Amino acid sequence: MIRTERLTKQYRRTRALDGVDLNVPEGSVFGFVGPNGAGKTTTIKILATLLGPTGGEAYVGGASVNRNPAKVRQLIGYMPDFFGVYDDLRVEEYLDFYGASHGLPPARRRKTADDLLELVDLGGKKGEYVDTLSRGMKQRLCLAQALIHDPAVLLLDEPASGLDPRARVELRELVKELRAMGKTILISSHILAELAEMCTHLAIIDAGRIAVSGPVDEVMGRTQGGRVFTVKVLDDPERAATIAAQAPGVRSVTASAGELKVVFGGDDEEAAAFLAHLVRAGVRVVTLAEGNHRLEDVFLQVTRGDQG
Amino acid sequence: MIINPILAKEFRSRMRTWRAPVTLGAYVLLLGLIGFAYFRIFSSSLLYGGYLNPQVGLQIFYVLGVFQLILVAFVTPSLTSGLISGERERQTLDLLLCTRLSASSIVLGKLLSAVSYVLLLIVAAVPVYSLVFLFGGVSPRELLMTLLIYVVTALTYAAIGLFSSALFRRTQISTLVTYAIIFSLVFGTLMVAGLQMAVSVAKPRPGPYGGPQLPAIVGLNPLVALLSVMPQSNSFYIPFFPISILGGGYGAPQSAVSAWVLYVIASGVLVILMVLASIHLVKPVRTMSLKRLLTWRQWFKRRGRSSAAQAGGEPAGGHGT
Repeated sequence: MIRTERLTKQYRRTRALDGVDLNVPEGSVFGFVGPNGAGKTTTIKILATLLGPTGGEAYVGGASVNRNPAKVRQLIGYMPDFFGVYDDLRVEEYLDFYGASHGLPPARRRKTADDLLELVDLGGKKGEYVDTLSRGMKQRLCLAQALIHDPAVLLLDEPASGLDPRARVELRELVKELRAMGKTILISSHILAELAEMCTHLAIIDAGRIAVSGPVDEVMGRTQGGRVFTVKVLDDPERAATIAAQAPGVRSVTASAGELKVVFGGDDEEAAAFLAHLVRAGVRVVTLAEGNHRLEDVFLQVTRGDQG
Repeated sequence: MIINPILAKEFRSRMRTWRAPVTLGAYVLLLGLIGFAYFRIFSSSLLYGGYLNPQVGLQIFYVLGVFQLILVAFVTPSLTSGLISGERERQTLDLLLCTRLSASSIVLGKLLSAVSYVLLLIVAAVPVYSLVFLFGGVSPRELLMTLLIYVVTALTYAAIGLFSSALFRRTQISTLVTYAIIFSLVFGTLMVAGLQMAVSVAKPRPGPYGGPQLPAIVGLNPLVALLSVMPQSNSFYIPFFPISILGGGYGAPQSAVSAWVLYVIASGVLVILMVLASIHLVKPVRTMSLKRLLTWRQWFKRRGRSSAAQAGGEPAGGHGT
């Protein structure tokens, strides 16, 4: 449904996207994960026809964002990471305005707006001014706005940021419902765990490149065998990191306050050897724990943790 | 024809605020007060004979006309200098651009909504002119012509504000620049014209009516255009209003073409340019960017170079960039 080929975007100095290949199958919930500044928003904006790529191509439903943006706009519903609302409008007027802007006839706009407000659980707020809604409600209203013309594809840029835990759960339910309606959903986040339960597919982007992408199981499988150890040390963690990096089976080490994050490729035998290696070298280890957030492990493994 | 959704929404939001009726009320009240004040001044000095002198009506017409023009010139930018930059600041422009609305319907819808509001102000102020008709001396055609100048001025200054709001990301800067441009159009052109005339005093070129000819730059000045459509009169004195130097009365400077014709044409061209530029600036992905033009230039250069290489048998110098 969405396909990008060698997508690049060059801002004045920085290269935001460096040959991004994405393939989002129809009907999937596609998690698009990466640290802040990795190029998620840039990619989504290009797909929403709001930015022109420097190189490469992107297609939505077979239509090119460069050559046929009007067609792409009809196919997508877009919810930006930061958005504003016209706070001098009532909720129903707000949706009616976007319906009109999409060229829907008045009768259909009213019906669709009512249905969507029910869907996003704002049915009771029809007559309220947008101004008076909470942040979570505005977020849902913006989602309703993105759905007003019944698009086949939804582009949700960091929809969960700034939401309280309850609103996040509601968002997850909503995404499930939308998926059941047959929509293809691209959803971005910088927190992998947020997407863990709702996604069918996953792509991890780092510094403008796709590190890994595919169905969730496949992505996990490809990086299996790698484990993340959290090693708490008493001494200088930088020195401990240098020592740890020399041990066999260690893929990468990140040092932070009193702690090492070690991505480890070996089995239990080697893990024991690794601990012995640390102790022999004089590192005073307090605890060594293996992380059980599998998705977080993937994230650490594919993004370059040893930067700087 | 389906009404532009932007237009409908802008009307709704504008008329919903308390600012809209307050502005409207203040506008009419201010104009009415000015008219009434001058009515009192004139009637005390000219009316003691006990008859209604059309000269008084004419004088009030001048005062109201000039004052309303200045009001229009300075109210309009406040309505348009945040049209696009406001959408950017509120982060709503991206959502609009993702709809089926084209950049041009967004820009035109916004421009029309602002201009309509100024039209409302102008129409609402028409009853104030009853002060003039109490005395007579002004024909309906002359009144309509002044209205034309207002509408043209409103449209032009709205377009300038719109362009500035599309060019600058921040509304504050856009407003500042818009007022600077309008200030120089209203007063700057007069100063330049005055300087030019002072310089050419040594060798005066007579205008069609014997007076010195006005420099072409006053074609941009709304005051000169306005006075050119008002009835000509013997020069008279209006307190606090040095307008006779601008073209009222016989023997005043004249331009070859009627000043208002020049003004309407110049404004029309300006509006079209500003609107086209604004549309271009609103488009998210510009099909005709400076960068692309540069790329074409390089392509042509490469072609030129390779054909030169073929002709000369050796590569031409590569210092062209």
